[in-house]
Amino acid sequence: MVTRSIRQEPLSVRRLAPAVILVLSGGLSIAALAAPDDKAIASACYGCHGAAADNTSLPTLQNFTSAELLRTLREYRSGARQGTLMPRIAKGYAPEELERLAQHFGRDHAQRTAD
Amino acid sequence: MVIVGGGFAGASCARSLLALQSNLDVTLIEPQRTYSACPLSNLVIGTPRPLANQQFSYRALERAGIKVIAAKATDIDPAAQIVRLADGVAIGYNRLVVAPGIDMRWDALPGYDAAATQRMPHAWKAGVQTTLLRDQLNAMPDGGLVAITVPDNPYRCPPGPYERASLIAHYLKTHKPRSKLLILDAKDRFSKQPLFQQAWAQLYGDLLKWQGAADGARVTAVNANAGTVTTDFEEFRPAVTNVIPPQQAGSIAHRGGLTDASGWCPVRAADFQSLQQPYIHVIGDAAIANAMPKSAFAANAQARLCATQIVRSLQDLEPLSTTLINSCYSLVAPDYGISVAGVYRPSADRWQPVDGAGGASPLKANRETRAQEARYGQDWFTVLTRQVWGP
Repeated sequence: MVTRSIRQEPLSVRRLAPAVILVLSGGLSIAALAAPDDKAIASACYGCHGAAADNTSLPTLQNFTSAELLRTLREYRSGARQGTLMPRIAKGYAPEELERLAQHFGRDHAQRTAD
Repeated sequence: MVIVGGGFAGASCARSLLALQSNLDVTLIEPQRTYSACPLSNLVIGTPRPLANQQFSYRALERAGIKVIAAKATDIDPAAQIVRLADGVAIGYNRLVVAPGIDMRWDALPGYDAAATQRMPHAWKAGVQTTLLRDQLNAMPDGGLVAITVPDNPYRCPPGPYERASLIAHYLKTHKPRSKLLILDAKDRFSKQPLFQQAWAQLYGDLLKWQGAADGARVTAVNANAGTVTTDFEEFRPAVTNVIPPQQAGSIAHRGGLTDASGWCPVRAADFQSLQQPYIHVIGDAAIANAMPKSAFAANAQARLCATQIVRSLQDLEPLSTTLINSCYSLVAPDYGISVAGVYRPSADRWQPVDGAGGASPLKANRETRAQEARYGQDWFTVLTRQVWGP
């Protein structure tokens, strides 16, 4: 059993001050939030779309090219393509977000991560 | 980094933190060495699916470099930044993620306490309660009454009681067709209601009956020894009673001063930081995530985002804004699935649904579509649990 403290270096006063202010204000204005990177946007997809080794009927996104993914996502968003959950989810994303997702997952792009 | 709770939120957050920054010191505190997952556990009750299919160990997390401590966290000292374990050991933290899930509110339904769960299982935390309810149904004579009591919102897994009812009805129709199932609901509306009611009429006819608050079906007391259930209007003596009681955040959240008067934990939307204690984040069912439901999928999504935001804050970067998804399948029969999805964005202080997105399966759909959604529901479980506990 671990008996000693595993605490790391103390938190700086500089970091403490804004955190306390935010706690007291009960919220964080939307202006203070940074724009998401591709990895953060893509993170939401991993809940359903896993690795090929999972061997399920839910497609592994990295098996497709970026162009294939983008066409499919746009069709889900517009309603041109039938589906179960994806038409409902794709409508929640802006066109440029779908482009970033297609770029991120496409097998022709090296930037994808296994996360 | 210390994480309390090894469910869909906590275990996932631990893994995500380490995946994002490999030199972090990540400790997960979880008393159970084997986790029993709730999604699909209604199949264990209503079909031959074994409980083992719901169970996962923490070996993969340990292999990934997470310190897993099999103990119950009993207290938090936010000022000293310390978590205390049941055996008195104190563990210091730089950041604490609290993901304790739910506890039952033993004060909320007269007659329903911890002892009563042995006669009238809740089965709302998967494990021995799940198999107890299954075994009671197996032992029940054909022609008996089964009652399921459902609380008012909010509670873990909004459509869960109705999937539970569906799969128990499937069991009764298959094995004990003279029996009846009665849902006694404290509400008048529920998740995926038109889809459930359409399927119930089609699959189960008058075997299954739902009554809401307007029908006087709100349960006011139970007596586990006498086997009775009392509502606003009536008293029942079912052969099997499944009480899904009112709930609250897990006890450690109360001990740590993280809950408000609702019994749940208010958090800042962007990064799930507690609004009541510094350097503590609350994710999963215990957190108040506004439009996001208390579901395994949402818990997992929150965990990933929380890990991202913690790592950013360690680098003195502000939280980022991103979109989260919830997807949730319910089985009305083993080969009949329906789903609901939501897409959410953080506004100044809450998670809000994105207009025009999300929603439930269409009411008009053929059996092949329902069968496909049932398969997707099973695959959803496979993918999600592999993400959290798998290799």
